[in-house]
Amino acid sequence: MTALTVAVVTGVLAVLLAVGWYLSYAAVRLDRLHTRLEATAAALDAQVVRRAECAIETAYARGLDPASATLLLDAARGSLDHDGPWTRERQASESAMTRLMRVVLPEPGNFPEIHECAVRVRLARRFHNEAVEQTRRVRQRPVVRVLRLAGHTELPERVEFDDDWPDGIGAQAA
Amino acid sequence: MRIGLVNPYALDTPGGVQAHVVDLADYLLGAGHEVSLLTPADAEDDLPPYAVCAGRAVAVPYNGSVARLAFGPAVSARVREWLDAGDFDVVHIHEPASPSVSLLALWAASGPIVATFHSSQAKSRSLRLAAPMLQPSLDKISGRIAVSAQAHGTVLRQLGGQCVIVPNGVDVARFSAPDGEAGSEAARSAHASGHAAELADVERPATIVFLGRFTEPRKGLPVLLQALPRVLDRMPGVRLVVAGPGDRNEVMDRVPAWVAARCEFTGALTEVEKVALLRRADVYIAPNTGGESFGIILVEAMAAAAPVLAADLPAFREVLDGGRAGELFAVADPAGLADALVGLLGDHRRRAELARLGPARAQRYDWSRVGREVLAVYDSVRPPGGQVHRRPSSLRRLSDTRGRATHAREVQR
Repeated sequence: MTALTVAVVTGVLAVLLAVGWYLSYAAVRLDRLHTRLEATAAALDAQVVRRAECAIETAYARGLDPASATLLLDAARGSLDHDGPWTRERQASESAMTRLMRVVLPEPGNFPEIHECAVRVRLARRFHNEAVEQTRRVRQRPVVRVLRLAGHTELPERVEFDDDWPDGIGAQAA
Repeated sequence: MRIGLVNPYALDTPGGVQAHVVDLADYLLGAGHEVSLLTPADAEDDLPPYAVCAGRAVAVPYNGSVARLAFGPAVSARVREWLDAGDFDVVHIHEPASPSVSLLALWAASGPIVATFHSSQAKSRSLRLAAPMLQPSLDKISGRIAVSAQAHGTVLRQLGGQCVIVPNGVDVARFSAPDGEAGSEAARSAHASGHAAELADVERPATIVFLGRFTEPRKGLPVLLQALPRVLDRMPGVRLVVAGPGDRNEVMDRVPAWVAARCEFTGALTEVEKVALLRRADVYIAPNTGGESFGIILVEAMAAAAPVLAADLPAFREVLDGGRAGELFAVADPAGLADALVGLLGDHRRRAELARLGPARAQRYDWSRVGREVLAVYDSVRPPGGQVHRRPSSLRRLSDTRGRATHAREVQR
C-alpha cells in the first residue's frame, strides 16, 4: 500500500515537474521572441524613415528632373506622414514609395545611397516578418493559448508592402 | 558601427570559416568600422590586433570529424567579459550552433544578433538532436545569413527559419595581379590576354592543378588519380601539381610509378605561392565528392583566370554559374573526369573563353560587393540606439515588466 502511494506521488511529481519545465521553456522562448520582435519592428521603422529621408536628399541634390523630384518628394512625405502601427494606409504608402522609386530611378546603380536604403528596407521587412512568423507559431500552440503565457499582448501581424528592388541581396531566395 | 565578430574554430588552423571571418574583419575595418573578433586560438601572440582570444582550442570529435573548438566555464566567462566590454551595435556569430565560442556567445548575448550558417550537411544528426535545446537561443537571431543555397537548405531542414544568402568573399584583385599584390585594371586585363595566349600554346606541356587537404577522401584526389592514366594515354605531356598539407604516401601507394612520375607535390603553400600556381594552371580541377557548401577555391581559381573543371556538386554548379563559367563532370566518375579533362585541354578556344569569363564571374564574390551586403544586413536588424548586452536572467526579465515597457517606449522614440 505504502509502496503504491510512493509510486503514485513520485509519478505525479515527475509529471508536474515536466509540465513546469515545459511551461518555463515556452515562457522563455516567448520572452525572447517578443524582445526580438520589438527590435526588428524598430529596425524596420528606422529603415523606412531612412529611405524617405534619403529620397528627399536625392530629390534635392542629385540632378533629377523637376517632375521626378516632385513626385519623389510627394511619396517621401506620404511615407513620413505615417508612423506607429502598420495600418493598411501605412503599408500602402510604402508600396507607393517603392513603386515610384522604381519608375523615377530606373537605374539604381546611379544612385548608390538610395539603392542601399532600398536594399535595407527589403531586408528589414524580411527579418521582421520572420520574427512575426516564429512568434505566431509559438503563440498559437494550444498550451500557450489556453494558459495565456503571452499575457495580453496582441498576436503580431506580418508587414506587407511592395519592396521589390533590383539587384539587392533581398532579391535572392524566397 | 561597433561590430563584434565570433568565430568558432581555432584561428591558427586553416579553414574556410576562419579565412572568411578574418577577411570580413579586414573589410569592415577598411570601411571605417570598429571590429573585435572573439575566437579560439592556440597562441595569443600571432593573433591580428583586433582579435580577442577566448581560450585554447581542444580537438574533439564533432559531427563525424574532428573539430578544434573552445568551451567550458573559463571560455564562457571570457565570452561574457567580451560582451560586457564590447558595447557592440551588432554581434555577428559564425556557425551559431557549433558547440564552441559561437554557441556560448549566442547563449549569453541579447540585442541585434546576426548569424551566418556556413556548412551544408545532408545528415547532421547532432544538429537535429540538439535543435530543441538550441531553439530559445536561435530565437534571438534577428538576421540569418547562409553562404549558399545548400547551406540555406541545411538550416531549413534542421533548424527551420529563412535566411538571406550572402556568399563567401574573395579579394579578386589579389588573384589577378602579378605577385599576389593588388593591381590596376590595366594590369589585370593584360594578364588575362597574356594567359589566353599561353593557353593557346599547343606545344607547351599542360599543367593541371589540385589544391587542398588531399588526404581527405571527400576532396576527391583519388578520383583524379584514377582518371590520370586515361588522360596520360592520350596526352602524355600532362603534369599534375598537388598543393596542400598532407603525406603523399597516403594517397600514392596504389598509383603506378609511370603515373606518379607525372605528379608533383608542393606541400602547403603561402597565399602568394597559391596565387602564382593558380595563375599558371592550364586547368584547375576540383574533383570533390561531397560535403561542400560553397567553393571558395573555385572562385579563387576563376579570379586567377584559371579554367576550372569541377565535380557537378550543387554548390560548385552555383559558383560556376550553372556551367557557364567552368566545366562540370559527374561526381566521383574518373572516366567522366578524364574525358572532360582531355576535351578541355584540347579545346584552346574554350579555355581562353573561360580565362576571360572566370574573372568576371569572380567579381560577384568580390569583397567590395559581399562586404556591402553584410553591412546591409547589420543595418537592417539594428533598432536605433539598440545595443548588444549580456542577457539578464530570464526570471528577472519576466518579473521586470515595468522596466521593459519603459525600454519599449525608448526604442519607439
